[in-house]
Amino acid sequence: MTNDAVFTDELVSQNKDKSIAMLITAEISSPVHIDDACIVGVATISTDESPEEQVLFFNRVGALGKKSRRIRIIKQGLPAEFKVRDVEIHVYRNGQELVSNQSSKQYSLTQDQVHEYLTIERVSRNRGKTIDPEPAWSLAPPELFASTKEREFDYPSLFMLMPTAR
Amino acid sequence: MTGIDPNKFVPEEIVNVVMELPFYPGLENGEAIASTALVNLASFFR
Repeated sequence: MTNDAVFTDELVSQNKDKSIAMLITAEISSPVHIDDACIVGVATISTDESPEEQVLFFNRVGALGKKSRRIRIIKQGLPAEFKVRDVEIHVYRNGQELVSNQSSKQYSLTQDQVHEYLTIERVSRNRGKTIDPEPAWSLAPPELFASTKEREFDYPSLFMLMPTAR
Repeated sequence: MTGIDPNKFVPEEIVNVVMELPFYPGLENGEAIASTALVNLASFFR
């Protein structure tokens, strides 16, 4: 996913007295087919009354593929005068965030390195806790993201997991 | 790192996906431990 100059903001005046909207545009593509993706974003704005205010926006973008698509999201109901400080965009599918070039964490690692990273993150976020293993669905293989046929994958499977050696 | 119980029948295509699925490890008192988990890939869609 790309965002020209971090974000593109544009004020759309629909009613000079009341309604001001923010137009967010982005180029989005995926190396593998992804079905039913959504965009969730957070814009940080400032107004005369508030130095920092966060505005959420949401847009269903449907299927993604290798061909880049330009998406436009209009967030309405903003104050009459404001400045955009920052815009963060996240791509989700089934409630799981997908890694993109706008993500704070990006993976270009071997499988062992990914496992090591997940172990370190798990341990650092759960100090002293006892919890069960769980899949990192956001890093699932592309076959899962490309499919909408849940039944094809409906096999209870026993996994054996080993911790990363220290 | 990841294996599948050989006593269970799982189609090869599912095995291939399973072997590439990364996991957060189980923890015991904050330490990563060897553990097993029963997971259905269909959960991905829910």
